[in-house]
Amino acid sequence: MRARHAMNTMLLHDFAYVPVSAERVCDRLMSEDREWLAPLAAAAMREGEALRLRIGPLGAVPLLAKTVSLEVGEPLKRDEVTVVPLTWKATTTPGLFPVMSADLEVVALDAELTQLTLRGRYEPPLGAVGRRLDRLLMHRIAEASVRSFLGRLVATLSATETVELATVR
Amino acid sequence: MALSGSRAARLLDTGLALAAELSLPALLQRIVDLAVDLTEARYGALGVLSVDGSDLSDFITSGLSAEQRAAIGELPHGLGILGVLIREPAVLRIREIAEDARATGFPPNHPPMHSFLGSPIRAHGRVFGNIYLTDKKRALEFTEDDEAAVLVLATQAGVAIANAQLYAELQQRERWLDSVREVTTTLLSGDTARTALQLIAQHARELGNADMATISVPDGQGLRIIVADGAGAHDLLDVEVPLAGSLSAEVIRTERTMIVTDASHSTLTQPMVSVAGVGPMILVPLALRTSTAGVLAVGRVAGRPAFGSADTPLLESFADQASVALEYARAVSEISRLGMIEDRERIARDLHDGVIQSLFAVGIGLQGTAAVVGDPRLADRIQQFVSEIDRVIGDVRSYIFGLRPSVLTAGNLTNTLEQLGHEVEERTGVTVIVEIDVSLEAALANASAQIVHIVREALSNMERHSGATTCRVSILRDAASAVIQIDDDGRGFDADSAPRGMGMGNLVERAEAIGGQLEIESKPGSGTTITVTVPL
Repeated sequence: MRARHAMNTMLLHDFAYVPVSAERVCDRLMSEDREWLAPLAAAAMREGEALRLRIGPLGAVPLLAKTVSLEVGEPLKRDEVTVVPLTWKATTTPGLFPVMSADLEVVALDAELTQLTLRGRYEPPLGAVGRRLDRLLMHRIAEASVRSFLGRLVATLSATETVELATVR
Repeated sequence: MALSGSRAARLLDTGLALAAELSLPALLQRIVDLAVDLTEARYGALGVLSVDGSDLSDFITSGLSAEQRAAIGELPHGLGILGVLIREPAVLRIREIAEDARATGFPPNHPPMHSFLGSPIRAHGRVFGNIYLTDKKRALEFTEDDEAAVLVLATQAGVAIANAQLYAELQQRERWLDSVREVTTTLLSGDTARTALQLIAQHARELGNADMATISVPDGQGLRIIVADGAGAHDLLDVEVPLAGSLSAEVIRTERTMIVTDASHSTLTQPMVSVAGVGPMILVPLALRTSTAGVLAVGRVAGRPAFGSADTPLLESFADQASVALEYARAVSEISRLGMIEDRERIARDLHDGVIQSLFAVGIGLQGTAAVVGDPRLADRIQQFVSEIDRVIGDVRSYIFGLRPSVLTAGNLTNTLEQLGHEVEERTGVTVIVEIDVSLEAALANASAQIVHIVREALSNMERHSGATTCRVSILRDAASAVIQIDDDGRGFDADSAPRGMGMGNLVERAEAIGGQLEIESKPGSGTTITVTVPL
């Protein structure tokens, strides 16, 4: 999360549980191959965008970004908590949030249960010219996208775990 | 043999005079002067036997002027008549030296001498040296009375010498205790290890009656003199001592103290000899907890008496102190580094778990309030506070992430790089050899994160582009720099014409960020060597 001076910053906060050990979650998030994360973000953004077109003001212009990149920064690990910096970027046309910077906090709740908490911030694409109501609506959609992303992340991590366990057995 | 009354009385006086003298050099001169006076000899000398008793290590004269002594040249070696007393320690009286079959003649410029009287001096149960008297005045030879008088004088001298030696030992021990106390105080007062080592070198030189002393420690492929004291110290400081063919190398290899009678004639080299003209030397290994890691060397200029085994315990005690100082410095550095990491860890935890979460909660709360506030201007104002909170969160977060190289959370630099090498090896099948001088860890603590990034990126390049089968990652000391090197046996490339892609730009930036300089050596078919030199 970089410090910005714009005065319309929106904060995002959400969390989810994944029935996988925190150690394995971190291993996956920090593995060399992180390309699996970007499609989750893209799918979440598409879901949010579809929602916006469906419930947004009449004549809303599609803001669908064709591709989304998700950069994973160097994690900060301490005791039972690992904080993974994420930068979510719509790489073609601006999406709901052209750039979202977030910290994904991975906390072990017990040996096989992990809490994923995402704290993010973004600048709405319409900026100061956007009407406040529009901004609020879009924020709800951004929140929905983040929730979708976390849900997909949980599903992917759980599925990977199941496959790996099956392979071991 | 009965002594005449007047002579007996004089011997009583000499005994008292000798007993009062505690300085050994002054005592020896006094003995020979008294012997000359007592026997009416023209010339007298006291030869001190060398440690092994086969030669003379000192020769104190009476009756010869300084010019005459200088003209004669070097000390006698204990041949001829002098040698007879060395080999057979008993009183010897000769009427005419030249007529004695055992005589070997005098060196050039030696005054002619005829009659001779000699007696051994015993101290601490062994022969300390001999009294030599020549040319009885007003007579052709020494008398039996002279012989008896010298015998008594030699006995008195022996007792006085033993006393003086004990006194000197006592003084030496006191000085040694003082120096131990001073070094310990220096160490405990928080002074740098270098200050303590400098003090140790100084005391070792002074108490070892030497002209210079050095302490050298491992540095790169050899040893480096980190402190020097005495004559030529300035020229010896920071001089490299090769680990092949040097006296120090031999001491490191054998882990034993070495006494060298004359290092200038040794086939093994040593900077003290070449730089400062040292002859006799004593070299003591510095034993660290896990290895021999340095040498205390003490030397006397060529021509001075050699060190004896009696000097060894004293210098070994100083070497022990130097070892403690080095270990202490390493421990302090490690503790300081760990303390810093622990502190950073604690601060980061407090900030992240406390401050950021609280700020975030306030921000979210305000954001929610802004959404329900009817007055748009008020909502915008609240939203501005949210943005301000976000800015503060960003600042705190940047601070937290800057506090600690997160890539190192699993351990120290060595462990992290070894783990990295192991991961690459597992993943790619490329043999990765990691070689790190652990003594550099503390010095590189602040650069560790960047170093890990550099190595990670270089290994990634190697993995993707080189087709290598073996790769070596090393961090070694070279003079006042740390040299980080990633070397592979892959297909290489033309380093001069290759575009600055493939992550090379990042490597340069990271190297510069830690004040280092990056060099890439590669040719098609010759592998690639990436070197980052970081000044320490």
